[in-house]
Amino acid sequence: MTRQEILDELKKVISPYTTNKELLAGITEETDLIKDLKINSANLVDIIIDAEAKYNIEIDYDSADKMINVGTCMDVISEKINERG
Amino acid sequence: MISAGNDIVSLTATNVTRTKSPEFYSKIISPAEKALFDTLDQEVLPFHRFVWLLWSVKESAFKYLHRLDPNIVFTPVKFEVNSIAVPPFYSYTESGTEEITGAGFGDLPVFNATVVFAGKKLFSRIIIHYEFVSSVVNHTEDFNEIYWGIKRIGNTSYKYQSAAVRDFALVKLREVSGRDNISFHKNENDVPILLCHDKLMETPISLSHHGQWIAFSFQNPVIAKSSPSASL
Repeated sequence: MTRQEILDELKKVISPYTTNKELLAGITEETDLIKDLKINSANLVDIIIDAEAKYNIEIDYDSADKMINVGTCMDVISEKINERG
Repeated sequence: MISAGNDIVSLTATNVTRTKSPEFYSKIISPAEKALFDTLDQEVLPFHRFVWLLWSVKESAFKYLHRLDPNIVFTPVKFEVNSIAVPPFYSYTESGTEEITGAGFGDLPVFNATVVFAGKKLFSRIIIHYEFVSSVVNHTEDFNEIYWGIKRIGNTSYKYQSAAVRDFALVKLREVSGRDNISFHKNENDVPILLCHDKLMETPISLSHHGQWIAFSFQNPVIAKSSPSASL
């Protein structure tokens, strides 16, 4: 998957958990999940589980720690897709 | 090591089926915590509530410690809840709770828990209502100097929740401190701080909101210092 394809799919994963659809449409790699998209921390696990299902990957604790903004989410997803082969 | 940490989870905003799936709960609770659940009365604390109780305590503990050390990262399984005490004769409150505030927890039917992160042990008091789980943590078992509040709100937009929880906490802050002109700000680590007449207050405060519920906790004493260090 290209980075753009990962971003497009990631928007769909995040969408149910943010009410700020306008910002979601224009997210950048610097967009913070909690501070900018106002996603409740209780939904971060949902996003990780949904991303695992969407990309058929497994995200371990240490990788999940890095998923703070859109760019780091894409890095982790990309890394896990590559590991999966 | 005075800080503040609280959290509230709106149970009606959680997905019971998903919470019970191992893919989900294994991101929050450790095998040792799953074993702890097996020792508890599951009629009093069903698994869905158990998972969110642990989440809440862990989130509260993270907030408490993150204020003291901004480099701490929130990895739920690394905050380990190693004891839970159920209040005697406990039963869920199904209705009638719109707003509760207190100083300490007195005779309230609260769950007691301990949580450990990187060798640091914190104590927690948890209120479980039919619609929410709300926790407060402290570094000692004495919660008498901790003021807290829980309230239902009618609007679940982030902006409303955020403003409502600040307004709610300010009422109690003014009452306890005897001062008005208290305002909320955030420090460079995005942690809430309080100013009174532009002076930093030595009152650690923690805020939380989820769905239709908002909650706060703060520690006494309320003492103004000479210079602010806030991002205004």
